[in-house]
Amino acid sequence: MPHVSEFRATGDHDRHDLLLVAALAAGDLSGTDRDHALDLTRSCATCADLHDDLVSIARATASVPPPITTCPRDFRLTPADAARLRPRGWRRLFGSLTGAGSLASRPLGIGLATMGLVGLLIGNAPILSLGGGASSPAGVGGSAARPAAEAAGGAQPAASAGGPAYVTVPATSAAASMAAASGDVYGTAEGGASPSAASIPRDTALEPVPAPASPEGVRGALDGMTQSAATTPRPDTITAEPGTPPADSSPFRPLNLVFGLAVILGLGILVAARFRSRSTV
Amino acid sequence: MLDSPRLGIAVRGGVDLEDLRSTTVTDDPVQRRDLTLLERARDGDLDAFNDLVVCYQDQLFALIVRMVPDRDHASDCVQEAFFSAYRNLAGFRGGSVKSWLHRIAVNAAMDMQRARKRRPSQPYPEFEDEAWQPPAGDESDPVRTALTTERHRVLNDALATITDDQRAAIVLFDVEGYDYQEIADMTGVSLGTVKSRIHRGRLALRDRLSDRMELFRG
Repeated sequence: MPHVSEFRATGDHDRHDLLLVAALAAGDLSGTDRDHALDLTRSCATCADLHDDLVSIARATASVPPPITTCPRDFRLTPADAARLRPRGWRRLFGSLTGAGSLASRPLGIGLATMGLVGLLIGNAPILSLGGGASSPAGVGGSAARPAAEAAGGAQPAASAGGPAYVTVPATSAAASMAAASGDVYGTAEGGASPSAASIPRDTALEPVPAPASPEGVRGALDGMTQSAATTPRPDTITAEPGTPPADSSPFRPLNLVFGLAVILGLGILVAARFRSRSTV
Repeated sequence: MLDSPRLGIAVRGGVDLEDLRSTTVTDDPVQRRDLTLLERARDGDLDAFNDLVVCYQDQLFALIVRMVPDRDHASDCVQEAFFSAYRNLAGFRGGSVKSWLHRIAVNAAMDMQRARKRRPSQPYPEFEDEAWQPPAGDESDPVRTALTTERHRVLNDALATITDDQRAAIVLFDVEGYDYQEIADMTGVSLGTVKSRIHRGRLALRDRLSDRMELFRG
């Protein structure tokens, strides 16, 4: 019983467990709870009256007629009702899948939802993990970097002489605006000639750009980029360089759509099966 | 009801009961009639379904009108229950058709009560139907009849004032005779919750009837 009392038959009725008496009146007690309830009804006259009253009420309730005995209307269905209620088209198909009698509805729903979730996770895992990758060389993507690199002018030969170093540039407008707001277009000015890629989100297509090797070259490049960023509107779209393999970063890739639909369909089947099993035996 | 022409029509309907999904083909003629009608309704026979409606509409209404005191709302619940049953004919898993319909009706009533709580309204005051009197046998005592009538009236009034969940549990247990597990399955709550609702509901009834308990004693 959920209401095991910790009463003591002290004669103080206010402190007695009335639910225990009610359970005794319903015949739902056994063991020590029943003994306690019997003790209560023996030692407390009010509890005994309560017990008798509850038994009387239960007996009276069982024989009470309905307040209205005649149906106020005829509930028979008309052919129009039947036509309206009979499922058609995709509802019929969905109903057959999720019917209460269909034993496959739950496994099907769970399977579809799981497959969709796993597919979404696996399909998007590389994109998610790119944010922290500092070890792999990443190219620079985004046309926002191009004018800056051109503005660097004489730094380019030095960079080529100093070997290829790669910097990364956020291509999304949000990342670019964040960097511009901080006064650092790349967000890696302190990184010197070979800025670390770890501080820059690399969620977009990247292309390699040689970085200036000397401090003067870096400073010139940064100045040029800052001016360029101030005067040139940043493009939100990225055009990949010829020869660079296009990286599809859109969340609406076909596979994502397929897996997303699988998740939605699976959850829909589960919800529909639950509702149907609730309304039908 | 068993000797009604409808039962004969239903049983002569030519449906092989062994084909029913219910594997518990019973010897109970009412159950056989219900299963036959249900199977014919599944095959698209609207008249068969309407025969089921005629067989059970009074029972369902008597059940629901106890749970939903407003008779118009109770009517709507019963109508919605039959709509839902027709919509979900394919979902019948066998067993008792009566229990299946009762469960659908109870769920419809509980849904309506929840909706009423979300959108409370002030209905027009109803004229209570006082025309019903308990059937009087030849040996009945007029005083006893009057007391019984009064007892039923005050009990119905008290039932209307307790919570919806408690009322549903008490009606299903005391009036309809379902056991705790069946009520738990119907209402989608645990066995302990059903017991608790019944116990608390009876305590609430006793509280409301404290001034009239002499009608129930003895």
